[in-house]
Amino acid sequence: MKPSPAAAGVDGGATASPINDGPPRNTAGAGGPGGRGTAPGHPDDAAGPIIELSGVSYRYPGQKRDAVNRLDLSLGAGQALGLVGESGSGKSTSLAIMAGLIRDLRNGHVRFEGAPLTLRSPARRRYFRRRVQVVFQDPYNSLDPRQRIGAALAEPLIALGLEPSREGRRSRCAAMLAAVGLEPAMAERWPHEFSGGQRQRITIARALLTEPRALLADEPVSALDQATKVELVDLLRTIAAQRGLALVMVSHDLAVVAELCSHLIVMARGRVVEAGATGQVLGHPRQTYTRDLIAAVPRLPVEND
Amino acid sequence: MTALTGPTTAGREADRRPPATTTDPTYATSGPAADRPTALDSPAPDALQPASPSSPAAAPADDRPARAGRARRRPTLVVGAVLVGLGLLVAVVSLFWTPYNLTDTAGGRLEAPSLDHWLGTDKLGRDTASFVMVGTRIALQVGLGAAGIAALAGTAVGLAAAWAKPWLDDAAASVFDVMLAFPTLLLAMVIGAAQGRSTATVIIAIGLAQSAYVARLSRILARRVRGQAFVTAAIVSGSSLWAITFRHLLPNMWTMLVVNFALSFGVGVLAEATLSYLGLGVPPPNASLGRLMKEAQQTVLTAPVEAIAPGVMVLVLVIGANYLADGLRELADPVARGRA
Repeated sequence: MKPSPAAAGVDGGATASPINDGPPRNTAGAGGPGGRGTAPGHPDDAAGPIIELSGVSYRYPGQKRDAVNRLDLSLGAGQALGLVGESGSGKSTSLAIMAGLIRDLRNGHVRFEGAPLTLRSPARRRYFRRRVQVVFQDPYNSLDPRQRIGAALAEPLIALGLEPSREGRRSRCAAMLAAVGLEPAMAERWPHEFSGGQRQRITIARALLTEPRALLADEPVSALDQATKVELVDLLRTIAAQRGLALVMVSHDLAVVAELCSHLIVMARGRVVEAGATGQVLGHPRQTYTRDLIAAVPRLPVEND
Repeated sequence: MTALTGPTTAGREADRRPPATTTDPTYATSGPAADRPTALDSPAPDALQPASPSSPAAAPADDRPARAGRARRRPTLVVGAVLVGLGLLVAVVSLFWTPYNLTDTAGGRLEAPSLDHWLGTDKLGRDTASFVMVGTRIALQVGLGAAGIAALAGTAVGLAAAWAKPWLDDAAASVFDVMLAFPTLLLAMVIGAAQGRSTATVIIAIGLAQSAYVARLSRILARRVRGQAFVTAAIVSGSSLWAITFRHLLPNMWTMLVVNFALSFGVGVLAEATLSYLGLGVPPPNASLGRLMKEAQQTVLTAPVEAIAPGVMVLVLVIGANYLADGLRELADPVARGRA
């Protein structure tokens, strides 16, 4: 597959703008036009994107190729953005950059709520961590086996100084467990007592406890079976809508992304090959790569609401 | 001699899955990500869940959780605990009571064991049993002290290396390897020679010489835990490196560190005996098992018990420590348990 001309130019992927005519940093996306996750009245819904990447390149140490190459992307409040591509296409790396987990970029800038993202100042770092939370791929790996669920949930509240009282933490954790469809009493139990789907609900609860504006999910359902996957996708959609969360969903599963995300960015070898509204990208893919990706989906599962 | 290769064994164990037991709910599936189903069409984890990782399907015997039954099937742990416990008992008793004063030369010279002198007397007429008791205490002091120093210094350095920037981590790993290239004994001799002889010097020398083993092990363990998603999750949760170290890294490392502590205790006891045998160990007013053997050497044919008794005590402590370590590892390691 030859690299597409669009890949070189890249585009303001998160917005609804057609592929090649948005300015590199398209900030017109506040609220995300038509985003399914759009919700009324988050107090911090100031204009402007939450996270913005411009011309970001990153190369893992010792690698010959950029994992992410000149990526432009902006995530508006309440938007639901899908990053799709084969393994090694750079989508998880992009997510790690957005989450501030990868800092030593070769090129480009990350902006958070309009200002350059810096994690050096503790106050600024805490604010960023509060506002941007991550859900990881492997539910068996993302909870410390030696921590009770309650302790795992309380960790961000303690570390970010969000809830000083033990009682307050307990009640907030209980409420959050209920919100993700689990029993509040489960806080006393250990991770190994839970199934993959339940664990992923717990990690979602942990992420939501800081009341983030953006939830970055790295293949959150790919380790789960089909039925659990559908349940979790529903949960994520409901939660995003209720809380006005912006959602970034990294997945190689087009069905999941199509279900959750209003906008898609298709990545290959670290570059964006196609971007736009989900329906447009999936319905009328311009690139062979995207077409191949769609053809590779065995069958779109029936999701019922 | 297992004692000398012990820490290496422990390092190899560390590459296995993390420990899991049925009795300790804190252990769970935290194996490397590669072990986990990640593909789309992987079997439902929910279906796998009821079979906890610690109950291998082909071991219905494990469904009998009676603790006594378990202990019976784990003789190494019991034997190790009994041997080390015996040493501890002797050492504690020697604090309050010994059959004779160490300076008491009233007995006959080189007597054979009798009711008056259980292990006979040495060439100055002193009671060998009393010396062995005090020597055991010194051996335990040195063994525990050295293992403690090695554990503290080694774990701290290993954790620091695991958090350090890659180049610094590489540099630290190389330093550990260079230190490991020197035998514990040689290093302890050099440190001891430079600092002059005292019990504290011997403890510090052996402890520092061994800390490289612990540093290497804890660096490996810490890096492995650090690679798990829950540590990244803790970073995202805003936890500081200190908080992550104490809440996530150490709790997931300590079983291996405890096993290693038992091993390095054995190495420490042996090293102290060897140093004393060579005349570089704990200095004279104190008894030392190694020096007892050295002094009995000239008269070994006339009074063999005088040489054999401290030797047996060293053996008891070292073998006890190794069995204890093996037993603890089996307790913590489901793979080894399945084999046992």
